[in-house]
Amino acid sequence: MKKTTSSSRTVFSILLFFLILPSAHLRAQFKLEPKPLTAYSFTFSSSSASSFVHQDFKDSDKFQADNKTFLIDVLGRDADKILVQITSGNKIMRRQIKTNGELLSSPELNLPPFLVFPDAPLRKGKTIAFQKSLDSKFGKIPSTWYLTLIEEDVNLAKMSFRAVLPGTNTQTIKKTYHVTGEIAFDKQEGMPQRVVWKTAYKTEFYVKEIAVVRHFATHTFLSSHELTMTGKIKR
Amino acid sequence: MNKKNTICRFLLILLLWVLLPYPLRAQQQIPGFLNWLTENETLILNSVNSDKEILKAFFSSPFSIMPTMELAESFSERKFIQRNANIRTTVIRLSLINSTAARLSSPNLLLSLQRAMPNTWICFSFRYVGLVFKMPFLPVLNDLFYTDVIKLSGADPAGEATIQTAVKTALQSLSDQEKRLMCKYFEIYHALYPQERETTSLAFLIRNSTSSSFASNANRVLQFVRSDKTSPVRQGGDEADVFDELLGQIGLDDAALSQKAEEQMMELSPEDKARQQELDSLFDIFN
Repeated sequence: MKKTTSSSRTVFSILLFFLILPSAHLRAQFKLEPKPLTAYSFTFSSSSASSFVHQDFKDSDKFQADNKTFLIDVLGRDADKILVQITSGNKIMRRQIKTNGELLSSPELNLPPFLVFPDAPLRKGKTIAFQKSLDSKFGKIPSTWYLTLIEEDVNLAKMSFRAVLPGTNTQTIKKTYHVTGEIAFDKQEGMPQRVVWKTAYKTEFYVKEIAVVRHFATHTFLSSHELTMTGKIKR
Repeated sequence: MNKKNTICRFLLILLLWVLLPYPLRAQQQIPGFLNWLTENETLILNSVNSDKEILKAFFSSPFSIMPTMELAESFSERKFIQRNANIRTTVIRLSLINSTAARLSSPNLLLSLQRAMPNTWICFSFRYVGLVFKMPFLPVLNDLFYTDVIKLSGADPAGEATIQTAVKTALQSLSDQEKRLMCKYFEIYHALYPQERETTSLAFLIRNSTSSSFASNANRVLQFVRSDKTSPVRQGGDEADVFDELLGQIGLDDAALSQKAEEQMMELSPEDKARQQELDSLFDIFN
């Protein structure tokens, strides 16, 4: 009887081990963990399209920007702080960042609010929301970011993100912003391998007469961006 | 120190006193419709630009490991700006034509101008004496008169001959769609400000400019103002139609006048006659 109990316990524990192992692995935190003394090269491409509907007219325009490359040199790492040097064209800048993506220090001004990986482990299909605000010349603009883990394997994790900005909804102006994106995160390198994001912005203008509100113009602006890791150099 | 301040203040007030009226005056000249159009356009473009700035600030680079990137900007609103600029220019031209037509449409204006012509009244005064046809300064006086009339009427000397052609030329710069858009703008503006009659009068001008009877009085004045320098009316030499017309109006025909002049010459003393002949020969040199 004792033998049966102990063997069943062993089988159960082995089963449990195999069951827990992948789930624990999948529930791992995502952190930026670039290897020190390594340079990562990235390519950035962006394009935009916009339309302007005004009475009977519909004008549209497209623009494809030139591809840009930049290099991230990991100068050093101390616990959860990373010192990186970014070389983009003639510009060279250094930043100290945390492993969750938060910016600690930089000599640059007016930087955007960066996406931060949550400290809590991500579960597949679960969305985590966090608030970020931007101090701009138009005042403090709050935004809510949502991050969802779509799928994950040993090397790669796919996440989707979206951001919501407060729009305007008055009788004369209606504004909406949408931002969605996907991140393919290289878990071995601790760096995003490919990031794609799209922004959509729509504004409707109305002319308010005494009792009637007439449509005047609608402006729609769409932009898509792609960031791809193209190489890795050991220093 | 106080003296300096007082002088500075005085100079500043003086400067403002000199400079301020110009923008104020310039502003007064802009029709209300154009103000409304520009205001709307500015509001839209301002909003679009600031939103692009926000998008750029937020989403140009979502990661701290990447540099901030420029937003790929497409400008579909360019055509909107261009179209509105075309409409604005046309509206300014139409307003000028409209005001010219309104100013010159008085039925008695042409008659008053014809009466005030130097060649008319000088001829009229000196007709009996017989000097009028030899006066060398008459064309100069006529030119001065024309310049003043052009200045006062606000008519462009090199402009179109009639109100109809002027409207047609002004509307040529707009496509059919743009014309429809302009009329739609007029409608919206009229609905917003029903007490403003500016757009209704412009719409009336566009609608009626095709009829030949429209602004006929103004057209006659324009023809008179833009008459060629070499035309007999402008030269002020010979018996102009205007002169005869005027004589007819007061009940004196040309034959009666000549007879009267001859009678007056007969009444002159021999000395006066000799002086008159001398003067005539003197003016012959100029001719």
